[in-house]
Amino acid sequence: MERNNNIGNEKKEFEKLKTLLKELPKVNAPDNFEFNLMTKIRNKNFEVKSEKKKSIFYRVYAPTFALAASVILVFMIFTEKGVDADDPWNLQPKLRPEIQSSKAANFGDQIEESEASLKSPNNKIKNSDKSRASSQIQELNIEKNNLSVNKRSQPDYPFDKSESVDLDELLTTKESSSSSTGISRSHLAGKNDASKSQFKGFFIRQKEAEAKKESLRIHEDSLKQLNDSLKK
Amino acid sequence: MALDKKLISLTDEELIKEFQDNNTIDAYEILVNRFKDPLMNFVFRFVGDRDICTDIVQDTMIKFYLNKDSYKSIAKFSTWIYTIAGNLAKNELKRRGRRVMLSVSNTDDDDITLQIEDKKFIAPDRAADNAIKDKIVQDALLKVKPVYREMIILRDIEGFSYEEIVEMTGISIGTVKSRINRGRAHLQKLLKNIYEV
Repeated sequence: MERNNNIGNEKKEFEKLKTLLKELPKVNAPDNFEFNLMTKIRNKNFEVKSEKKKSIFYRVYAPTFALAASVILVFMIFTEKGVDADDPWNLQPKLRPEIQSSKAANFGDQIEESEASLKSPNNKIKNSDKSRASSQIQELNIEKNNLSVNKRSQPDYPFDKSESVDLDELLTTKESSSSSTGISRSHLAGKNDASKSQFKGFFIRQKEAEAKKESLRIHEDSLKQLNDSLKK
Repeated sequence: MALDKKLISLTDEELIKEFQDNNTIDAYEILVNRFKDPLMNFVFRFVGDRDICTDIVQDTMIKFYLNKDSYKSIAKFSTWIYTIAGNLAKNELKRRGRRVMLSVSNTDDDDITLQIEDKKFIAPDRAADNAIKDKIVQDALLKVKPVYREMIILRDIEGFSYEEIVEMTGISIGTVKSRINRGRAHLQKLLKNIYEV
């Protein structure tokens, strides 16, 4: 009984709502509606205002472009961090190939010298063992060489030795000794013969003695270790 | 002129047939004239903005002009044109998102009030009351979910039958009925204060 009453009330309430909705004033089209429409049709201006489609750029290229841009940005940020780890002003210049090869040759000589400087038990080592040992040492030295090139050894300047003036030598030694560079004191780069070279600025040379000393010490240790192992 | 008189006496379906077969622009104009106001009312109640509503109805008519051949004589013309208008209105709502709630401006209500006064004389205080009431109802209507709102407008404001609404919306009659009831219940809740007054 109560349920029926509720349904009846609901219907009544909906009836009220329906009349309320029906009483709403009718909204009519503006007076110029037909004129505007027919003008559009005659001019073939069929652009649907309410359904303006976004161009293909917004639908396809914009997300792709945004993704690509963000990837590049992220990549750049991480790469930048990597560069920042080393101070770019303190980075060593890249070695030229001919200098690299001459370096390697120099270190080969150093090995021979260090082998000769080592006394007695080394002489007893058989030739085959010796060659094996020297190859091992070279490997070892190459590794050390890399380290020393980066950190301690003399940096490679971007010009030929024959075309440069060693300021250290020039200032500390006398004229006669300065000729070891192949250029006399008065013969500065680009002064007399412009075609030879041009003055490229002053460079500070690092002292190589300590680096050399260090590398020789390492050679010596490695040879000793090898010797001990062979003895055993 | 004689053709015009003859055309005016035709039904909607006969007019669209005439437009389809002979591309008679007069037939098209008569149909536009018949449906512009009902469509304006339907779209305005659905969207709540008079300018946008005008654009939507214009676009509906353009679509009708361009796609006249997609109308099949098995359906009623009114349901077909209401379907187009409804879809455009829904697209507009999607585009605007939540801004719909804020789009009912005072100028729209002024226009509605003027229309009431044009039809018959109403005392100023009563007209003001009616205008306020209309605004409250319209605001409440816009707060109802669009799926329910569409059903209420079609059924209770435009007065279509359930079958016609099924034809327009393409959903089952059961869903139509349940949506209408849910919409009404929600609207009733929102308009509780009006009943008490």
